Amino acid sequence: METKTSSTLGVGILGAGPVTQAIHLPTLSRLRDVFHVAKIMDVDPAIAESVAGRVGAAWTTSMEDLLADERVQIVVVCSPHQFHAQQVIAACRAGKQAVLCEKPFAMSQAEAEQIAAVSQETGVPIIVGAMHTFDPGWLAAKEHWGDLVETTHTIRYSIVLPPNPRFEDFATEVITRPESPRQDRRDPDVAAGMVRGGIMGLAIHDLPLVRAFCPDFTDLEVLSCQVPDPSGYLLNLRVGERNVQVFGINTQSWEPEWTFEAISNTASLRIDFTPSYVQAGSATATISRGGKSEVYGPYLANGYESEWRYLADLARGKAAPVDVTGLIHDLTFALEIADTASAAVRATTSTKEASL
Amino acid sequence: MTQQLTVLSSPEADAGGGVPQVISSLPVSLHPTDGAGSDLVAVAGTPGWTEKALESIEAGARGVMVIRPSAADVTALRDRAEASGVPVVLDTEWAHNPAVAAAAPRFAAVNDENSLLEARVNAPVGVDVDQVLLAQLALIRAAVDPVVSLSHARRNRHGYDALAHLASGARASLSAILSDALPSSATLRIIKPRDAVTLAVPASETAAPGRVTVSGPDGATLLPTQWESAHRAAWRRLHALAEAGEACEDLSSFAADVAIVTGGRPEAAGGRG
Ligand SMILES: NC(=O)c1ccc[n+]([C@@H]2O[C@H](COP(=O)([O-])OP(=O)(O)OC[C@H]3O[C@@H](n4cnc5c(N)ncnc54)[C@H](O)[C@@H]3O)[C@@H](O)[C@H]2O)c1
Repeated sequence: METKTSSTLGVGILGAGPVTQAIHLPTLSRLRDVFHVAKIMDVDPAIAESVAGRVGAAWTTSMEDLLADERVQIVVVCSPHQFHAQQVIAACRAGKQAVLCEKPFAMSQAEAEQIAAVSQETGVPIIVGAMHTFDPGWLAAKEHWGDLVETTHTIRYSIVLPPNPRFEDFATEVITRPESPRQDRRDPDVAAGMVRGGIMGLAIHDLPLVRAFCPDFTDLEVLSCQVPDPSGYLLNLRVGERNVQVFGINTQSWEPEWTFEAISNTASLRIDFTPSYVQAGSATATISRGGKSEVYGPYLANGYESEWRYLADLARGKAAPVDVTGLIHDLTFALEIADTASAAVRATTSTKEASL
Repeated sequence: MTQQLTVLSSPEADAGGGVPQVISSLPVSLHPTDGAGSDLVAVAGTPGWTEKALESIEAGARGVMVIRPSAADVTALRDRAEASGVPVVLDTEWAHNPAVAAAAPRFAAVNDENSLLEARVNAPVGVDVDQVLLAQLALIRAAVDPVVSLSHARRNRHGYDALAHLASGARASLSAILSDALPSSATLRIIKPRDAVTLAVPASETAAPGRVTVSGPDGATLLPTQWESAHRAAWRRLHALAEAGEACEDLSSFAADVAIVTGGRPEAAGGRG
């Protein structure tokens, strides 16, 4: 590749929907000493042109065109889920300096393995946009939680999610927004789809955090699975020796909640995350033991900003790459939960809600 | 004018129920006594409590307070209490906290067959898990609705996760987490497509307030907080019942909850999740 004239790193974005508009462009605007947006690609030319126009970037409707552009050094995959794997692989093959793939990394184990092989072969570092794994509140907790990973017996992960536009609309002015039709969760297929979609789309954010506390993550049992009204998931899991509850619900009620807890006989960690989309600072982590609580955060930077700073360090060879095996394990863990739980809810929904 | 009633307690009841502290905070209504013929009797809810309560009624008590009752067959006691019109109040960990009564009408507005109640308890390591579940069932009954069926998804020395149905047809998820890192407390929450009600209740010995939050698309309201312990509120209730000579439903409700607890044990339920 030719040497770049620009002193900042050129970013190329595949998919310019709400996440690009509300999350990545505002985050990049905070990091102008490190990055500039070189090119934006979307299958919808109107979106590509309009979003690129905001940041003075070139635009295209062709992925090949973006990947062939040498002004693009870092590729961000922000398209719908089903395109992630193929686009990550193409970006690696194009010899880019680093790839940020929005969660989820892939939609199947086979795709994940292909990504791992290509990443190995090309040496292109990849990170997944699971921003809470980069959140300064989470990282501070990690430094101070002592032996909690070994001693935790119970894990709770809960998201109460008001409609996304309530946050997106404070982060940007979104130009198009897909409609999500109201569905009947009493239909077994709908219920199974909601659970799978909920886990791969929403719960997936912090399943890497759950897995960090579950050394035996392959020994997994879905003890129960339910769908709350109007949509979401409530799962009880046994993961090795850990008792895990994963809850998510969509509601118009105003109060958002996003918490992660890991609890042992003598210590507990609780993390309260700020909502997605907005640049509202880091999570706050509280570690309690023996009648004392230590609180870490909130810090000014959130997980989005930290993930981008890490990406810059990666591209410049200043940071060690994320272990792709870990990313694959995160995905395997999520897929296993999504598959088992959606099958379980399909079975119980078809036998009617009367039984539990 | 408030009638002053005498209270006979025991070291065990005092330890679990803070009886002297309650009496000192209700000095006009209650007065301690050591002797026979006391109006009210405090009985610790350790095994054998039903016999002690029966004896107290036979000795002429006008009211009985059972502190943290453990699972027991209450049939004989209930029949006797009903026949003699003596109130037997069960001082379980959370149900009497004044925030519970404040929350009840709010929960009623969101309790229907589409609802999902989330109930969680934090309790110390080593507690009797059946007793925790009984106290949680009493709380749910007082704040929302009785639990009519329950099955455990998991139950072990660290706590439990159970799935249940309420009388309204609503589903419920009940959990207990045993840890010494967290203060003993209970929460209930119903989140609907538009509205939500949350109740958080501290341990029975503290006058730290329970908190009821009612929210909808327009924001949230924290109901006025009341700094009264669950123990004190339970004694005010017993005093009022005894003064009026009215029995109460606590034992019947308890019998129903005991049946749920024994029926919902993993071995009884055949491990269904
Ligand atoms: N990190 C977070 O906080 C967060 C939050 C929400 C969503 N996400 C993830 O970000 C991704 C994008 O989310 P979104 O809400 O913007 O999605 P979206 O589906 O609303 O928008 C995606 C955009 O991609 C375009 N597109 C469709 N097919 C394409 C293709 N083959 N190549 C390139 N572009 C294509 C669409 O025209 C659209 O403009 C999703 O994978 C989602 O899971 C992350």
